[in-house]
Amino acid sequence: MINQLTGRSAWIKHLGYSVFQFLATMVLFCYLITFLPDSQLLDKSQTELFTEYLVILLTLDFGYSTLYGDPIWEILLDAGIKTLFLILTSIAFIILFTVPLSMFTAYNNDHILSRFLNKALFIISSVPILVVAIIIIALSVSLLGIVPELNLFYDGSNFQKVAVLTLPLFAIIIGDGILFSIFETLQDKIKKIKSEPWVKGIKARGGNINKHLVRGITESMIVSVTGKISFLISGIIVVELVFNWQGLGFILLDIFDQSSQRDYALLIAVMAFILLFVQTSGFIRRFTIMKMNPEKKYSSAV
Amino acid sequence: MKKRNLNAKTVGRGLFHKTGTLALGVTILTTLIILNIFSHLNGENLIKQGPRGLPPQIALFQILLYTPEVSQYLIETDEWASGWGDSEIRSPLDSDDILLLKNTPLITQQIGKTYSFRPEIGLQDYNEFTLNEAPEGMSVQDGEITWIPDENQVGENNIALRLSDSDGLEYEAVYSVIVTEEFFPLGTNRRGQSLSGLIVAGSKWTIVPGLIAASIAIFIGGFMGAVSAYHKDQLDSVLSYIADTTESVPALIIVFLIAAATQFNVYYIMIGVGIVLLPSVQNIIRSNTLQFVENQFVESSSEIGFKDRIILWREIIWYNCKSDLISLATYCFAFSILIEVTISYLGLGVQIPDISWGVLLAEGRSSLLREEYWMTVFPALAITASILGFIFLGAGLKQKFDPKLK
Amino acid sequence: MSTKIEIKDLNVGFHSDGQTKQVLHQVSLIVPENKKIGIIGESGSGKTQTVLSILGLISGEPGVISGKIKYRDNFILDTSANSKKQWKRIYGEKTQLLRGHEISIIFQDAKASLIPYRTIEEQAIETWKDLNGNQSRLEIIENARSLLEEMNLSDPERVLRSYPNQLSGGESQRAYIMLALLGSPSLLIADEPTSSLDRENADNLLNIIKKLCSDKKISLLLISHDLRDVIEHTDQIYVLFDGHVLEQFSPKNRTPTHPYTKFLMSMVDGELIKELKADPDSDNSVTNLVQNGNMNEKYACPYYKFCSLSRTLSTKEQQKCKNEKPSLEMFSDNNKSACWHDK
Repeated sequence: MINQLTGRSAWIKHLGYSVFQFLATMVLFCYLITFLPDSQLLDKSQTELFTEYLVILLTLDFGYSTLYGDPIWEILLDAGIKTLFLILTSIAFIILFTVPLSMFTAYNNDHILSRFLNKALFIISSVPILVVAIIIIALSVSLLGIVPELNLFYDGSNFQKVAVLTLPLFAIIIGDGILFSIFETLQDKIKKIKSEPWVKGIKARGGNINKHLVRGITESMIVSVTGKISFLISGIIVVELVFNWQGLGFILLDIFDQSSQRDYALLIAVMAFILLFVQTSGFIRRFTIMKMNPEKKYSSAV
Repeated sequence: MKKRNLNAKTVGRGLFHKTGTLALGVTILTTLIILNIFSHLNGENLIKQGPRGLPPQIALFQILLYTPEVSQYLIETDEWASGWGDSEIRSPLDSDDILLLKNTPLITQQIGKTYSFRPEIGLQDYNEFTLNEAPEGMSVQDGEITWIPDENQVGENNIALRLSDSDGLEYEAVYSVIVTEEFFPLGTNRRGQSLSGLIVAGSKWTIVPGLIAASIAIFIGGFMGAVSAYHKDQLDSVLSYIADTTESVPALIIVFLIAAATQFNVYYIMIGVGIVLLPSVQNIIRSNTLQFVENQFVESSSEIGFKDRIILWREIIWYNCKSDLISLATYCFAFSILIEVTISYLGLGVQIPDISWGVLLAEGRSSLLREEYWMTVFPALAITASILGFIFLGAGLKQKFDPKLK
Repeated sequence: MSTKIEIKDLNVGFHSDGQTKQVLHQVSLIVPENKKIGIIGESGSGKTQTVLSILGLISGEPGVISGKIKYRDNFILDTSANSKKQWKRIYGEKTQLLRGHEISIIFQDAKASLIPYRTIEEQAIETWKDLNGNQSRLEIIENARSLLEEMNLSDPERVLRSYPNQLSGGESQRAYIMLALLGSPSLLIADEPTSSLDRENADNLLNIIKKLCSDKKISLLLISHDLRDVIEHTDQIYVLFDGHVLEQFSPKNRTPTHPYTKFLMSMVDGELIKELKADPDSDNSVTNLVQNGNMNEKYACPYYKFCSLSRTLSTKEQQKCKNEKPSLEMFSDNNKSACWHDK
């Protein structure tokens, strides 16, 4: 229903929706963490804690981390860059792999390789990300002789640097179905466009269908990837932990590992950061749909 | 974690052979159920105790997953030491320079089972090898070593093969065989527990947690989806918004929260998993039901009467969403296994000393770096097989029940 | 009289399940200058494949098997002239040049054939650019607007600025036709443009098309499965059945004589059955009403199995139908019927 919002001020409405959702989720989160059992906080009531967290959230005054000692903004920045790197490069990798593969299978539907690719990707994608990550580490140790942890990046050889940066990406995109899901969406979209009557009409007029194909693929790609960002982040959390990248996911686990006197300020900050990513991509998604389909303004259909 | 876009008609398209996937799924499910029963009945008693870090005793597995250490020496006679004890000088040889044994010996065996090894000597023109040091009862015949260990030989037994080549140089290849009382087909972990027993014990987390998550997701999510479709203008917006918001939070974070709040109670966490899966079910049921329900129908049904309306509901929802519901349900199971393994690995789920495959993976991680792969490979295989089993089961059942394909 | 299009002995087929199914058998057809020609037949009879072959739009393997096609006395397809690779290449090149420029085709369902996310204006400009035209934006829009006006649209400006989903059925049809005519083609092919319309709207649409073609001296090739469309609006009709041309006649000069055409004519006055299928085994096939001989056997005359005339023939005459294929070349005038016994 939100997709029906279009028009000149539509993007403001979409932005408002994202902001509202962000705030609502963060407020709910602040409320929920007051339920975490904490032996050191028995003297404060839930309401007091809740207000405290709200204030931290709304004033953005996170202060110093009780877990690491550093200012929280600094920690956020440092960890945020690592996580952002993983997010952006895994998206790039996904595009790099799925676009050519899906174009191949869509154009060569009956080719034996197409059917094989579909089945193989389906099975490979079903393997959980944790297992994929561990397998990659095992292979890296046995075949390449290196343990691909982030520390290696700082004083390793160039080859090791590349390995450290790329191996986690393979883990992220292979496991948990993201690769297959996007590949399948793209493949279906390409086939659908090719069989649309208006595409046939353009061909019959001697026109070029390529720009429409590109447009369709781009829209599909943006919409499906941004739609999966929260899944991607879940996977990135696991990968950060397995490959020892001290990104936001890693910090999150550290906080939850504590059984008392948790660093709530840091928790709120990290959560806000992550949700920011998610909401931004959600906004991009709705915006793209709106821009690419201007006719939806006038549609009475759902 | 990531959720597959189940609305894409992947398996409904007949990606895989219908009966094949169904058969595979049912087989794996039955195996899991049997293991579950074993596990619940016997608990930890199933897990045999043995030497720590033992490689698998099944020859094929050992060959694939472990390279035993064989020490190599060059033997020279010390001319100056005659009469003063040991007259041999042993100089260690690098395996890069020379490989005395081209194949790998089995390094563990159970008592009463025949140990046999036919070494492939890596020297040219060698004479027959002899056993310089060997446990009692070991013999060499036609280049094959045979031995049946007895209970007195439990533990480490050194074996030294003495070889000489045509130049008269003498070499020695030394390795040790660990003899066990019990049979450890998959080896043991760092604490000496049999991996096969551990895997059976860990299987108890495959069915029951999934049941919890699936029930919540399907019943509540399905209900919300159907209601959404029926009362399009009123509740739809609200329910869709709730679904959208739930989906916007990464699943693992919700799980972390619940784990911390309930002190790692896996069953409560599964309730959270059910909540995480709710929006997917809701959306699919909603879009399915929308196709078949028009608003006029709702109006006219109110004239029919309350009971009949429920019957109609059931007919429509059940008939049309049946196949989707079934594959969603099996997906919930697969997803639950995934989450359980992940959080147990991270220490936020099943806690040591309780067993789960995720815990095994965590313990096996450090062994990975020591090239002791079996501690990781078998749990990983079990996890993958279970998840794939549920997914294939869902795929097969969905194709079977799809009304459009009838 | 000069001809616009001449198709001679065209054979088209497609692979399926390891076999090659032939969908067009020795189809020959002529579209003279400034004339309106109709092709009539059930769905699956090969009408669309015939016209797609003119523009090289047949998709599938092997597609064109053999035949010749001429456009204005130039061969665009001649399978006897060169090697397969060569004639295929020439065919592809020449048809590419014709599309939109000299020959335009419009299909059924106008609304679905318009680009959903562009306004009509933008589509006109894009079409023109694809044709490598060099008019300015304003000129193109003016062109489009006047075309829409000629089609009796009262407010063409609004239509031009709209998206397809804002237009009514009639408006989107006119927009679609306008786009086809932008390149000033000399031949317009209309593939079942009336299939989802009722009789009144169908007639309206055909009248518009006819008027435009007459005014702009565009030849028309009209395809339909409804005989009423072509009888009223064309100069000559080709009757297609299962990939064979069974009859060719001018509706103004004479009544058709082929048993199949007569059968179709008899449906015109009654209810015309939708969902006609040429598959003789299908329950819905109009031609399933009459069956002669063995359904699985192949006879020389493609219509023999369903022919009601054959039931009135002697055994010797029936044998002729079964063993000798009647062809259209038997007659010299413009009215031809591929039947041994219909005179």
